[in-house]
Amino acid sequence: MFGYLHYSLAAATLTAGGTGSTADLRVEVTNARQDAPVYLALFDDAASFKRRDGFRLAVIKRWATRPSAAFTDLPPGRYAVAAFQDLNGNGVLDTNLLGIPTEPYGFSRNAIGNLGPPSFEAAAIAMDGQDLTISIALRNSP
Amino acid sequence: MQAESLTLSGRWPDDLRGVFYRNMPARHERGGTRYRHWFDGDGMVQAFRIENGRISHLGRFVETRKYAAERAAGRLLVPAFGTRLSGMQPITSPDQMNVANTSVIRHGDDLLALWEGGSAWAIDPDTLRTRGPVVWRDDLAGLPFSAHPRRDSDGSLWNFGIAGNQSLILYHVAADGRLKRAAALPVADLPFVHDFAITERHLVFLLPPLLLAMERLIEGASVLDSYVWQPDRPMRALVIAKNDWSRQRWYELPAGFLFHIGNAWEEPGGTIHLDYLRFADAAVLTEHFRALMRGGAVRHDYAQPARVTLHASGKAAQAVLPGRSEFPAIDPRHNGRRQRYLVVVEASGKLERPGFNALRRIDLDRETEQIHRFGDEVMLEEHVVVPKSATAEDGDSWLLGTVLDTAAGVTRLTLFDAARLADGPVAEAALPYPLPLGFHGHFVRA
Repeated sequence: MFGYLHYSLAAATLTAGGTGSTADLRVEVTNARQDAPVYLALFDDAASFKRRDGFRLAVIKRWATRPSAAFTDLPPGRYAVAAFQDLNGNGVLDTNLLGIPTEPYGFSRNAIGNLGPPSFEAAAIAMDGQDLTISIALRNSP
Repeated sequence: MQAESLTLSGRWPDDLRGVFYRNMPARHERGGTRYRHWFDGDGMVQAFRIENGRISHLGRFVETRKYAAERAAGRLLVPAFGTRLSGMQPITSPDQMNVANTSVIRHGDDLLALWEGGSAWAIDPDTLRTRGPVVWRDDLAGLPFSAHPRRDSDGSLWNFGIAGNQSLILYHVAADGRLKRAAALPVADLPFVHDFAITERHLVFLLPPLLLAMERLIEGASVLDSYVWQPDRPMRALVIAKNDWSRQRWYELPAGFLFHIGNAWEEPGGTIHLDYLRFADAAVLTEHFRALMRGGAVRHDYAQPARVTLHASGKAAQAVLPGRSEFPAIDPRHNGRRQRYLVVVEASGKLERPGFNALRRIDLDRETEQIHRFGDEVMLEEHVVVPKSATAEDGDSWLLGTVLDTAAGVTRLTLFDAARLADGPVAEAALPYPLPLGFHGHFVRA
């Protein structure tokens, strides 16, 4: 059913720059436990979402009130965000023998799949040149 | 629910001390919405403490995540086995539907409330307060853990879980509670399986042709509605070697359905003997327990005791005994070894209403039996076998269970002397209130 949601730190890119009608997407994460990093990945199409291959990644190790990060300078379009909390610090979203996540995870629009991850369409939000803040509530435990 | 001191009658043996635990689906409604199937109710564990001429009772709901979330919200949030309504959240893992309502066993320091589609839930054996879900190993979190683990002669516990229609998960837990081994075995067309058996060297599964149509589940049907009865296909038996889970033998039996197996044992040459409670089809699960919830008239299907021989040669044979039986119980010391007696509850005489009114003990060697029948107003539940002492002979035991007296409106503990079952209970203990009808229990001797 699920594959791994694997975020390679070596591939993490947080870039800025650009002009025109781009805007920032701020992601706030709720339900996170203390003391374990939260990973975010940003996707702009269904194919890469299905492959778990985000084009922007963020790792939040410390926060005041709640984990948050901003993906800046996004052109208008549809985007989805996946989040998880790496409780054991191994850099991957752990799953049980059936591929169901055993660490807290969530998606934009708090989309929930049916016996699997949600579709890109169910999780996607629209950026239209205006800054936007969304909230993802981590779902804990299988 | 709590009662300090039950009203005793008859003679409770001085040396019978311990706690009798039972589990049952006890809550079927929240916020005006009602579950559609008996199996859907939230689990409530009951403890009857028997000591020094006094019996007390304590009952407490298992505080699963689901239970706590729905209590806070004041309504049903997630689907259950037989109920899936619009407005309920989709689920990513069966453990989110866990109602922990089917059985309860003591293992290590915990009492485990068992369901079958998800984790065991650990509760405190004395206060019955919920401790949390059991994670045997990180990669086993949330996986199905059946309500019928079998304790081996070395005190270790074997169990299984059915994941979807593809994966048979096996668990072997040491007597001290540590996991020895667990793995997910691929099994094609894995059907609904509720119980299994062990022998000295093997694990034995009966696989009825009640198959899961995955696409129905994904489209939003309840788990129950996603199962399809296929009478043209056989019941299969799968035998797995305990010390090498890749060594598997398959057998075919006539199509039929079951919930429960009594026991299994094997001859030195490898032939396996097994007894189970056999239904002609799965209507009891797919129709009757659903109709019960609506108060509708129910056509009663009952199971008959059946004896199976799985020959080392690959041939399988079956003989069916007369009866309308369920809730088999055996002397727990003989799990996986040849046992002489099979205790079942029985719908005896011309019983018209659902449930059972009699307790029956079958002597498998002599093919004789004893039975005690109550009046039809008494709904008899599972009775467990408690050997009178650690060295007592096979059959020299107490039978302990509950009855719901619908006329008196109370639940009673009933104790039989197995050798004189036909004489009726030797002792009873009445609660001041009725309990919901339930499933399985265990007696933990003090």
